[in-house]
Amino acid sequence: MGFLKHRFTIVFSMIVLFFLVFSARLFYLQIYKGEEYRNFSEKNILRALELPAPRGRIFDRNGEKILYNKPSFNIRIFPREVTDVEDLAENLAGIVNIPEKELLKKLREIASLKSFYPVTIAKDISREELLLVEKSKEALEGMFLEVGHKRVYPHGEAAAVLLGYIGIADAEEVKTYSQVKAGNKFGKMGVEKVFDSELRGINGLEYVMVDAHGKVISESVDTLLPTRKNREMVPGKDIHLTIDAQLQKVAYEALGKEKGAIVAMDVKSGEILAMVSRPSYRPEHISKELFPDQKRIKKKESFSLLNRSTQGTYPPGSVLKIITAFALLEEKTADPKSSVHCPGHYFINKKRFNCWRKEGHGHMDLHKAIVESCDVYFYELSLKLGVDGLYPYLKKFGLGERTGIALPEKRGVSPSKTWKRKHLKEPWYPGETAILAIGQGYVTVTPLQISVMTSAIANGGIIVKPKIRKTDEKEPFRIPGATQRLDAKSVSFLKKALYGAVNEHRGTGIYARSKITSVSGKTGTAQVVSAKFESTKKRFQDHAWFTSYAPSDSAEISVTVLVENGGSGSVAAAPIAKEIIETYFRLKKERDEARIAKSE
Amino acid sequence: MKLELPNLSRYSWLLVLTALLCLAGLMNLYSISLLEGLGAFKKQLVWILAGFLTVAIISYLRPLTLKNHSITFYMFFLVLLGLIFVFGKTVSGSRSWFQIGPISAQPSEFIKIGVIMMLANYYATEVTAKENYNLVELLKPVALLLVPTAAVIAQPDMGTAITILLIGSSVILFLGISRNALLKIIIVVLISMVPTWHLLIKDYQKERIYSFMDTSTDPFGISYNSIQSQIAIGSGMGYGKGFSLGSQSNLNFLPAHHTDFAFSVISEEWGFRGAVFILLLYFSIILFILNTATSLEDRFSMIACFGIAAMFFWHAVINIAMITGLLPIIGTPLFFISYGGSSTLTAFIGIGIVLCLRKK
Repeated sequence: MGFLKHRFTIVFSMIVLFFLVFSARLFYLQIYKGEEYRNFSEKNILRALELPAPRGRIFDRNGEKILYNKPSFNIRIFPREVTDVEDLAENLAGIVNIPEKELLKKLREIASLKSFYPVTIAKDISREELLLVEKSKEALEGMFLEVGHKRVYPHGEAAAVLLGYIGIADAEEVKTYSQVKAGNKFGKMGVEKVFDSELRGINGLEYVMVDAHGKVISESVDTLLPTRKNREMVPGKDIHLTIDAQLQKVAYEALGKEKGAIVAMDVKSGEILAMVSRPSYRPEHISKELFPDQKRIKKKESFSLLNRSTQGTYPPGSVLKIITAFALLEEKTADPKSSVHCPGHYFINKKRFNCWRKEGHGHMDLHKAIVESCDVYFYELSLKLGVDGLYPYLKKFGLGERTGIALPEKRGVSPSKTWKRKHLKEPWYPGETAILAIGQGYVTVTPLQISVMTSAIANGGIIVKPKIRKTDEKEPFRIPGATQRLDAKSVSFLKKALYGAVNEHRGTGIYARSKITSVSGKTGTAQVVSAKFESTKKRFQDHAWFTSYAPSDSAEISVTVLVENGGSGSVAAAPIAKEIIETYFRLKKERDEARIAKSE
Repeated sequence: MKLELPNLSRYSWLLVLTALLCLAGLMNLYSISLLEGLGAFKKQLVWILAGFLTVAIISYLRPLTLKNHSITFYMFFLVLLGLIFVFGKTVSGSRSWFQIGPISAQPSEFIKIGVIMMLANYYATEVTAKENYNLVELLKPVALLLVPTAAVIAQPDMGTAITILLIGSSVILFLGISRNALLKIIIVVLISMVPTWHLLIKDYQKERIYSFMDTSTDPFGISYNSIQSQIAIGSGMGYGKGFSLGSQSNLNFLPAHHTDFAFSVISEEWGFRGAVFILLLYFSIILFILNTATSLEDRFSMIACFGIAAMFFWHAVINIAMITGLLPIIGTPLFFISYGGSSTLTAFIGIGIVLCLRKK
């Protein structure tokens, strides 16, 4: 059996070959590279240093920094290098303001990881703590000071809600965004969240070998990890917003201690000039914590994290009469001369509907009904128009839909017969048409939606898509589905009426009248609870609205003010709008003068 | 059952080599016991003593007895492999253990011997040896190999399954496959690779393979063990760090240092000279068994002996390639060096069979 002998020979040679291969591999590892491996095993201190990428800065429309970074010092621990947890906890407790027990627990957790990657133990330490750390560096095993980046909010509470905040990415976010690693910073709210992918940047990664004192002894780890490459740090991109920081500040302060929202918008481009939501919060309070008691923060401040301009939905009250009037004109239910007598109340199926002016307005035409905000006029004519006639116009102005701004947004409710059947399983009653016509009942809107509506009247009939980020595009976006230009005749009629509401003797918006520019606008006083329910408690007070634009003939800016439980729109909201409009023109004048002075 | 005295004087070399390896393995376990206690050392000592007893018993059997009982041995452990899915204990994700009192046993180790003996039995039934076997003739041996392999894959214990497959395939290949059959087998294997990859290979196993091909995917997670093992071996340099001074192993950087990575510890503490010495001992055993196979005239004995050599060979190759970073991490022990009852006894049974078969 010669063939078997032949095969045995092959097998013998194979075994010898393998012996030689393994001996050679051992020779390579132990003799050729032995020195390096020995070095490495003695220290066995490979560190993966993360170089945190600074998040992009945020600028306002004039190039003013409204969110930027400042260096901060973080204490980080390399889990693999901790041998005596108790000792380290004791030493650290003498430095940072964290109870030793808590530190010990956290450090135990960290040490069990045996990872080359550092874990943060204290964030943004104070100057005193920094000095102490530097002094007792030797006693702190596996510790290193990371120079990180801390968010600085020069406008504090005024812009906090709009800008949002960052936090450590949670498990869900790590799963959703492939580039976000556990422990990374992540935009949680507002502009920080919406533009996170651009603001974020890419953290650098550097592998170094260090000695027992944390001193880098070799920057190259090629021998050990030939395929391991350092990663360049890429700073986050800057973002330019359409906000005017000065106007934002004034708007925030103008609300005083009231809860509410303000939206100021460039009527032609849809650029948001100011967007305020109150109450706000102190941004430093949210980003600082490391042993994050996020739940506590959320509970205490959740209501103030909400951007009321885009996420708060309210009954619009009389500001909706702008749309009702537009619908009446377009559907030819009313012409400017149609007259209605207002005795202060109106009966539908024997049910009494009051006008806000109990003694009545007397004879009203459409112009006067808008100027004096007569409810009875709209009750009567809206019944002729019907909800089916009114609903398409709510849609046309973008109510019940997101405006498309790059911020988290609510839709609000734009009710119709179909809507009611679907959501409440009930038929539509005529009385509901009447109260819808004056902005009560099921209808709810966000202040931003009202701002878009007013801007459309102001700019001659174009529904613009509001923008928060400055882009080079000249052409304003329009909201999909509401792309057609509104009828010019009806728009110009409304413009006259809104001018009248502020500037005529009996107008409801007279408190917005300005000496430096012409203002047009509409008040709204939205009931929170049924009128029969009388109470002096703040939370049962009406919401005050005022939506306006200026100058009346060639509008530039629209300002919408909502004061939650503020009472009458005329008294509570109109003066705030006036202040913002005047500030806008004052700032414009100052800047023009400064520009001229500079060029001369 | 008739007994025959083995010719000890002529085979004493094999026993000496085995004893030396066992001694090295025990010393190694003692050296890493300073932190973790002598539990593993003592247990392994018991296994080794039991092993030598097993060798003594098997070596007194007649070769014909072995041949006649190969099917009993094979079936016994095959049934145990089946029962494991009912009574088995799950250790680190694989259901491959029986727990009887303080003793836990892994039938997937013993089945290796069963496969070898069954294959030898099958090929020995032919009156005259063929140079190559065609597809039909291969059907039975391939089935004998694939049934236990499938059971082990289902546990799932990929490392052991791969070893069984390699041992059996070595025997089948050694005895010859016709060109035609070989071609067809290669085609079938290639075609079945896609569903195997998607259905049989678990995610963590894929990750190991990926991480082996490119350590940059996660150097501190999956290939962490491989890196640590290489550091341990490399840092041993020429002469080693000395008995129980292996910082890699004693500081727990090295995982599973008394089982699959035991040879890394020896390399760290005894350096290149120690590692090569063990390698030399190990390959001497393989060559010795193989040489025994060539000298045997009885066909069953020759094939069984070849199979035992293949078993030692593949265990050594996979284990050493793994710990030196030449292969991805596949959990396979190095006989006599790695701690473990089932694998140690399996190795001793192998040695016993070789001693038994060498009798005239």
